Amino acid sequence: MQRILVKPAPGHPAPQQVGVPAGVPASPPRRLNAIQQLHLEHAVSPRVPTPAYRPLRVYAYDPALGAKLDTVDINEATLDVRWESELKPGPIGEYIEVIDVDPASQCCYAPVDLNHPHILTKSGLTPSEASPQFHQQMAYAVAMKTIEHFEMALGRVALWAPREIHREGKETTSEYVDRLRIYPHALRAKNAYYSPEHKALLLGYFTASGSDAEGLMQGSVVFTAVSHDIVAHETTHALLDGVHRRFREATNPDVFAFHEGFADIIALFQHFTLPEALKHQIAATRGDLEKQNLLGQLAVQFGAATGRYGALRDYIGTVKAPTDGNPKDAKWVRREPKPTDYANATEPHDRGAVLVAAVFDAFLQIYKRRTTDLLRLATGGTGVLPEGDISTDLVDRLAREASKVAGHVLNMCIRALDYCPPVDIFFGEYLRALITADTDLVPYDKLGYRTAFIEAFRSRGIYPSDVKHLSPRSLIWEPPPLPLRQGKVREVLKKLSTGWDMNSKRRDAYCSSRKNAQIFWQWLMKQVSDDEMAALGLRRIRKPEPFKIGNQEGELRAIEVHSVRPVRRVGPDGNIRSDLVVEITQTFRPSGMPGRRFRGGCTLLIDLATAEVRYMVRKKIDSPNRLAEQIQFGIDGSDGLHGNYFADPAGVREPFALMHHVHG
Amino acid sequence: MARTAKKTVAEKAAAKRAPRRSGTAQGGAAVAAGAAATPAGSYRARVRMYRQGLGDCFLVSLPRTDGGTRPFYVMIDCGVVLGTPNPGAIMKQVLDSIVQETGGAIDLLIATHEHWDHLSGFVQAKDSFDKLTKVGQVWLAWTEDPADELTRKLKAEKGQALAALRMGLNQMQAAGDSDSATELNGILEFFGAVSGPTTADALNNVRAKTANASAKLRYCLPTDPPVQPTGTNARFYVLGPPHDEKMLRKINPSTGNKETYGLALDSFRLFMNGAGTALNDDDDEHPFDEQCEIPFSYAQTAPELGFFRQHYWQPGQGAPDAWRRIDTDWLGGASDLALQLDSLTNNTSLVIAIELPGGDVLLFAADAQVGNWLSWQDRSWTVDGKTVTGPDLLKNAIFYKVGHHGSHNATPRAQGLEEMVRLRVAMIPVDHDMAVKKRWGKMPLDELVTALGQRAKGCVLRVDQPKPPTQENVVEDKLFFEVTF
Repeated sequence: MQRILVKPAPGHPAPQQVGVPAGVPASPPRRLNAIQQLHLEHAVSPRVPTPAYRPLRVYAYDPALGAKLDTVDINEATLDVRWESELKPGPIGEYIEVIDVDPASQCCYAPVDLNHPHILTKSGLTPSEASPQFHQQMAYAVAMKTIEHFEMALGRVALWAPREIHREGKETTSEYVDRLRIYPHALRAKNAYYSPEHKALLLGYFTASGSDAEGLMQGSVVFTAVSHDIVAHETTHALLDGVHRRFREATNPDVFAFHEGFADIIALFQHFTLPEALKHQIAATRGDLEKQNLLGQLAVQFGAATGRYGALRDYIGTVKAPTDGNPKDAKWVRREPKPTDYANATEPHDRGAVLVAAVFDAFLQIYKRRTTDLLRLATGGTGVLPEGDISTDLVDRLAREASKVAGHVLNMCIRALDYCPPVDIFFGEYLRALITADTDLVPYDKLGYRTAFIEAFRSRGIYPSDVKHLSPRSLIWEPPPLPLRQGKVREVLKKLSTGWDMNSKRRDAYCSSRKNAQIFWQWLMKQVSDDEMAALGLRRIRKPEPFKIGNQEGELRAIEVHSVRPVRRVGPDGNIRSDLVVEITQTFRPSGMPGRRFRGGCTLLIDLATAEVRYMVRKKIDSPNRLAEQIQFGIDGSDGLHGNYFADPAGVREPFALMHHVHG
Repeated sequence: MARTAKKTVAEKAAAKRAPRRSGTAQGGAAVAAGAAATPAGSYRARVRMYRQGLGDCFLVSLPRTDGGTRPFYVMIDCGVVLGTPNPGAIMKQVLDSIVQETGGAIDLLIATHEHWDHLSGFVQAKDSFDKLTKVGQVWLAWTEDPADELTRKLKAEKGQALAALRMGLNQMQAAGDSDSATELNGILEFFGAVSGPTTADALNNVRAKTANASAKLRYCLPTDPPVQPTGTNARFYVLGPPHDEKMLRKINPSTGNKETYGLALDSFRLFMNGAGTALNDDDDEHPFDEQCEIPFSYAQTAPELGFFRQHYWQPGQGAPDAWRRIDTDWLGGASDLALQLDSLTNNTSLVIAIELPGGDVLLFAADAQVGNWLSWQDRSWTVDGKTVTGPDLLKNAIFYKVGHHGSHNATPRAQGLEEMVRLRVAMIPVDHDMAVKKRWGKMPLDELVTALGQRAKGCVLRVDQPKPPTQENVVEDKLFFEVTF
């Protein structure tokens, strides 16, 4: 062997020829142009595309179904959860942190690492009740899915309600909360709830016995963390609280009912967006498809899973066995809606169920319209299905259709949140919000979605109190009676940062929203005339001052700008337009009723391009009727054992805990 | 509002304790004066409400028809709420006054239900209670009868629940959750202090009065026929408690609300099958296999396991996220269950209606809750060939011992106060300042006090307030109010 020795020139070290094997003459270095360089770099380390989704396996219903032979096939589903590259063990991601401590058992469960290669390649851990790590995975996956639905519908990143810090004798301050915490095994109780106090979902587990244990082994443990519907329901409470903090205050019988009903709606339709969940059922009940019984049945099963069986059964329908016996011939009977449903349901869960039933009914009508052509196609034009099983193609198409409509309904219901009053919501107002929001998104309602909604609400006696006709046109919110001058509005819009969208950093979105609120507040105090303020249902004052509403003395507080957030839509001309949602509230503290708050306010939707206030949703602060009703409602609601001794209302700390506990 | 900033009379009484010892004679004189206001022998009944604080103690005197000179004495309850300063001294004063008034002989002793604020005196001032040497009869509700099967069931449940709740309270205190602990403790104290004598001890002292053969012990059932004690012309009806578990558990006024009813039935099972299992000595209800469990003690200290320290306990750095911890949230059902136990016990109250000659009724409702009240609607007895019903007795009530210190659901409107069309006097054994100290700002309920005032034409007597100036024939003493009918 001969070595080529290069003599170094004096003063210069010899260039090292690394990696060139001895005996191979070094070719002169090739000069690469920029493109070649780039290609080379790519060739050396090819870029692996960041995945859009992380598939994670979950129970489609809840584990009990896996134990039954006829449902064993459908009990697993794979959720495509948005990929989070920074996901840490827990899982702890951008929105959610799962911390698995179990104080009743005085122990913790090790956090799952979803980035472990063995877990990644298998679409997550295999569903298993016995593995706390799977519970963490499932709670994370379902909650993330709900968040995704919210963000898609609202066109901006979702924020949790800020933490409110009350200090003795000082104004309440707020603090940004980056993640919702999920405690999958927080409670040893038949209960699961969203805690505004901890900004956390507290999910319980309990030992099944008696009727709870139907289909289960007596004494087996039931976990709410592995029920798709419960996790989605509770996450929705948290998201709704993030958008509308004042909906936590039960100022009329509809407010808690709305929280409950809305959470049910989101969980239910999120469930229906899983085609896996629908296919089996569509195939199984082919003969009754025209009657749409199966979806109703599903909804009621869903009610059973979330512990709201009774309420949904009462309002959607029930399975009835024929009187002469064989329970196998039991048939699903849809309950005909009555115009008195709404007024007669006074308990929050019952009333919430009326809302669910109305939205569900609208869904069914839309689904029916969209599938009649399919059925005609499949039956040579008759629309009457022959005996026997239906073709799997038809099953697939029907399931896809149902799942698509479910997605639309989900979207509509969430979008409407930006069009709601900031406080004291009624179902009728939610209907107006639904119709207005949908008109903004889809100006021409060819498929009759809006009519289906109005019809379904009307047939249950849910009307807005302040419109003359129940037509889609007249239900749209109106602009303020005294329009805010556009020139001035334009001035304030210029000062606001309105870039909060799907790509924003969430903390920045929070901060800019707070800052916007401040700017807007100053503008309201300085630039808006008293008449214009009165038209918004508010009173401009700098400091708290004595005030009288009707005969009630009290103290009126200064107005607060609660939230400033953008909402995006496609304009009628096809252009993307942005509106600004501004929520303004004002509080009145009636004297002689410690702790009692009466709030008014309004929501404005301002077109960012034209600076025109397109809609106003108003709750007048100086309305004696509304005040009297709220006081009466407060008195009626103070019954209960807690009121035996305690003057402070029960459940201020954990409003949802009580709500859910009753139903167990 | 009327209840603001009044020092309670009971406190004042306590402050002047020393002179009062020798002053009981004056109290006696006051009664004599009160009696003198009506011509001797013509009174039909006298009702005395002691003013020891938040708690019940009543002495009813009925004239003899058999020529006896001393009245027929009925004593109903003797207690003050836990947390009252110097309770022993106050209760001694009360009992001494009763001994003085009755000469140590009570014809009928009634203990309405097993709550500290109705029984404490029987143990706190046992020496004085012992001076009541002659007790003719002792009446307790059937819910204290150990031979009754339903009683046994209820008592067993209560025992288990109380044991679990006290364990839960310990855990709350250990975790530093003082808000929840205070609330729970306040309710549990109705069952007596954790250490020291219990309500059961107090009841035993009451039962002991029947140890000698002369005194009779009666467990009262509302189905029993009314009793007219020998030597009197008054008739005693037992209105409640109903011998019906469902009615006993009916403790909320909103009758149409099926949910509340469900809660009432379920709370015991919900708690005991859930959190309660973790409060047993041997907790065998862990949800996962032991090989999944990292004990808290290990997770808090193990150097290789930082996750829970960093994200949950955060020791050392001022714990910025301490507000997110959930150490005691799993015990959230405890105060519900405690409230329910409390109400259930209230609902076992022995309710007595004393019918005076002429048909007027004195109604002693103890702490009866809704289910107890509603059950009176179905009561009916045959007396001298005539039918007397529960509603009849309500209609004829001229005196009402307000239930449960004036709380909102112990006096129903319909089938309750609204039926008492002839009401003349209402007595509320309540001390609002004490209630506020216990955080029970709603005791008594203002709306109820107002409604009572309208019914009884202003003659509403509260332990914690002087008598209304218009009521001249009410005897007001520092230690009691007395009304003669």
